[in-house]
Amino acid sequence: MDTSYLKIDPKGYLISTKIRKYVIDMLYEAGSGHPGGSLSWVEIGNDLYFRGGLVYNEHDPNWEGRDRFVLSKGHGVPTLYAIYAILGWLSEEDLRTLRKADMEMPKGKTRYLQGHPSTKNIGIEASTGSLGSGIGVAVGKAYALKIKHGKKSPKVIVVCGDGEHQTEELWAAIREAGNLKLDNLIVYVDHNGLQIDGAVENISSIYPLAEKYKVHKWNVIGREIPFSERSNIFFLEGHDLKWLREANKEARKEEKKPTVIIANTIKGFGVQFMENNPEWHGKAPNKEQRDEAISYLNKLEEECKKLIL
Amino acid sequence: MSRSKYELGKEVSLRDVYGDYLVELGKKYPNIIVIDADLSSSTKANKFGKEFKQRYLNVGISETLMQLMASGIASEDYKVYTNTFAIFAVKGAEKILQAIARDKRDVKIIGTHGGISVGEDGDSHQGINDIAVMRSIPGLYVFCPADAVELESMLDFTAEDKTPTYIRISRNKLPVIHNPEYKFQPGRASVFEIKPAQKKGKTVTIISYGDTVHSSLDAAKSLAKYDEINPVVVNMSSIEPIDKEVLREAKEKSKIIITVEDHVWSGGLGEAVGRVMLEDDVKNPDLKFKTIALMGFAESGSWKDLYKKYGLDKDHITRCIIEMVK
Repeated sequence: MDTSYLKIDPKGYLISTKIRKYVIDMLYEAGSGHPGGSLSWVEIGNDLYFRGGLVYNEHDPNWEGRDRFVLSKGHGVPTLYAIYAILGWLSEEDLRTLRKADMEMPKGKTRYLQGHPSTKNIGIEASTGSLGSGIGVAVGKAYALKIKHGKKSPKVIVVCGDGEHQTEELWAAIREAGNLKLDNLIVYVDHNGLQIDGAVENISSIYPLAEKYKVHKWNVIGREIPFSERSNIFFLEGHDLKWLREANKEARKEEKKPTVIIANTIKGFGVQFMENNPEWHGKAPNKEQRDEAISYLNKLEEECKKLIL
Repeated sequence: MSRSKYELGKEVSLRDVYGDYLVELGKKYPNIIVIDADLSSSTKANKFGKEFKQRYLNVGISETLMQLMASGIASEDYKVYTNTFAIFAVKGAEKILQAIARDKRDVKIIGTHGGISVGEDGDSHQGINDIAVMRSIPGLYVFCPADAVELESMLDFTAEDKTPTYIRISRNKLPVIHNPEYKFQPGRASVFEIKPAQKKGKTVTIISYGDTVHSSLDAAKSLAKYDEINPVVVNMSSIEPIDKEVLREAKEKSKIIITVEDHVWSGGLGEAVGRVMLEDDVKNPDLKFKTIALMGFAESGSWKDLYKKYGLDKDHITRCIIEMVK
């Protein structure tokens, strides 16, 4: 295994590793869920919540001045729960409630963590899970915040999947955001190249992606690498904490257009046997696989610690 | 606003009333934002756009996006009215469920041109299953006004209330049947008794909403001449929540209950009424029940001709009831 990327920022990757361990344990405990697409956006989430990518108040998730975060690829929500656990918004006990029925609470009510983002849970701005929907809601938020706050508007930050770009409603949202010049909107494409049924380009190609955003009057950072052009790639900029930091800074400076950051990522990144394998889109690890994943992540953690010293 | 300017009997187009009244609400409620999807001159929401440019958005022919953006805007403490034809509101139904109803957003979905009363445009533009689809979405109010007075009062209600709501409005001019002081409330029907008390025979209750309330009232008036029939018309403008009290009373008193709607039979008012009456504990073994609704697609034609052809006119309703009384 080549773990030389940890040198980019060992302290930063220590947090990524912590997030990944929570994700694996949560999914193992739940017995179902989506490891591949959760693991691929860990560094994006890390940059947003722990490295200044997103403005928020650690002590008040509902603070009015916060940037709004919408996870449009809702199946990746375990990563968000892991981040919230590190922030102290959720306890480790809360993480164990993922995907379980809360038999104690009255009908329709629960504090238990939902399988996809739900406003029932803390820190969730919009219920998502139906792919293509989150981005439309986010465009509405950005529009409303511009009316309310003008140039001083908080940002609306969205993480989308690549497969999501097959939905018609996503493109309607992209078109309208470009027309409305929503410069307070930043969309990350967690571009891992895979969806449940296989490689995005083999199912129904969405490429060229960067060009499409440009045509819709967006500021574009990054460029997609389709799955078929990725042989022997074990690390991509979507996991590079330095690249993500720069991309976020650049996006926040944009004053005329919405910005898309196309971050090439690896599905299942950080847990070797899950990497680049669409089989791990929607299944939970068993005990053996969980143990293997955790011991691998523990090794990464040790390496990070060594590098910090 | 307490007293409507529309007097009894005046024929008014509800979408004109809607367009005008939305402007009035815009003046009173600075948190209202209106979205159109390229049909603003038909839905009449363009009047709001002219008055309040900063609070108006036309997203083009993207009905699903309109509902999604409405959810996002409402999540930032605004009240949003989205506008399209009833049949295209159905196009956004999954988004209404996912992003508006699940998150309880303060969005009012206006579906104009509901039913086959739209007429000449044909079945691509006749919203005939909107009530069924919207009724199936948990947490959504489903209303349909029968005249200008009721529509205004309904809009007053939505301006104060935060529940996600679908309102079907039809295209044609309808006479005012409610007093100017009438106040709409969810779960509360308005009841029209035709005969004086001393002349009452067997009670026949016709339950309807929207345009067909008027065919029902016309039928009831022509039935009133028979000594043995006491026709009553229930305007069930609040389809969800439905008025269970009124239905209970109707079941207790009536020999015949008939529902009439410009909508397919499945999932419509007829089924809603039928379910309530099967579940309650009122005993009325002699009761006869019938639904008049669309059995399938219609086609191009004038409102009046289509109502005649598909049995939503006064004559067909009258005939059905006479047949059942025999």
